[in-house]
Amino acid sequence: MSGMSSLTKLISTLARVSDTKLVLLNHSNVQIISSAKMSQYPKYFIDPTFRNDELNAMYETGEVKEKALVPCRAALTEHTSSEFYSSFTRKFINHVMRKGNKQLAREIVEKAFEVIKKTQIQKFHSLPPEKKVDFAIRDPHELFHQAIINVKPIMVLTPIKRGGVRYQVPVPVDDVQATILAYKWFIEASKDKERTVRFYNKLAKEIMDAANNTGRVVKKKLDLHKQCEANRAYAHYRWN
Amino acid sequence: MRIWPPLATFAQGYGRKVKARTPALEPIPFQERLPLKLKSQISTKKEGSEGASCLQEMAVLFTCLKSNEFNQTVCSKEISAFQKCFSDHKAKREEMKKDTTGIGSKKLTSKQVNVLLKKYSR
Repeated sequence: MSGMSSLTKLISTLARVSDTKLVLLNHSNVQIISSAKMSQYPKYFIDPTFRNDELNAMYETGEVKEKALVPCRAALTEHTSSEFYSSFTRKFINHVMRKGNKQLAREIVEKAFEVIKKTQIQKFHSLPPEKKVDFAIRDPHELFHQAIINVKPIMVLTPIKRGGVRYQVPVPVDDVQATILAYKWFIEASKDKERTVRFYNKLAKEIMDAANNTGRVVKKKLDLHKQCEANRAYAHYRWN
Repeated sequence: MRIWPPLATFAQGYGRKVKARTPALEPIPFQERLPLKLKSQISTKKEGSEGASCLQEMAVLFTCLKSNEFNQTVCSKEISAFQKCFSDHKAKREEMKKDTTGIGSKKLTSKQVNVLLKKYSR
């Protein structure tokens, strides 16, 4: 039964190679669940590998022979092997994007990073020579990463209805959800500005402040944590 | 005018002209609308409130944050413990969801009961 053996081969390859999870429903049926939820591809398609270092690693370990046999999704335009690629920033660009205008979103974020770099260089050159040694001009991507780490909440308040009353209960939050909240707060803070100020300028300022653990967005996170602490009693009422 | 079932029974039972405005006369005959037997499945809507998880870790974290003015760098150990507890809890919940039969557990979820009923009801 050649058909059966190829299917089992596919399943075993997938189990080893990709992010798919295999669930044994009955003795005979196996359900393959991929990590992506809503997709035009069948669920067993794997994500493309487009970074040179990852590809080289795959060639070294020999994993490439197995992965070559598994059907693969198409690479998006943001999946580049360029030097300037940052997997961390591209998610943020997606959140900044409105109405599918990816080009504009990317321009805004890249301009914001340019502004960050320029302000750092200005600051550096304005320092006296003895202090220049200590000052490090950091990569704006790295600064943004640090800013997100400083802004991510540990727990959030969820409204839970008990006895007709809506209580705000502190609840632990997933890492991914926390990152998404951080992105949202950055965008909100950058939008709240005067008419003449540009979005990318405000965004640059917010990122630099957050990387220093100061500023508006970090304050928002601290306020949320304080509210959680104030409502800690509700968490003890077995609501989770 | 089409005679709806209630009016028809009234016309049969009492032999007098009953208008829809008059109140119903006791005794009201029982009408079997749905089959008089139990279904071989139960409602899965009422999930049953799960106990709150990671409360102790949360309490410890709150005391640490309160004493340090919500400075997260100082409380990194408590934070990581809290997050680990949460991820463990999530993994356990995923496993419980996948357990369709619930063999060996004292309490069955409604989905598990339905699986059994489907298998063994006649």
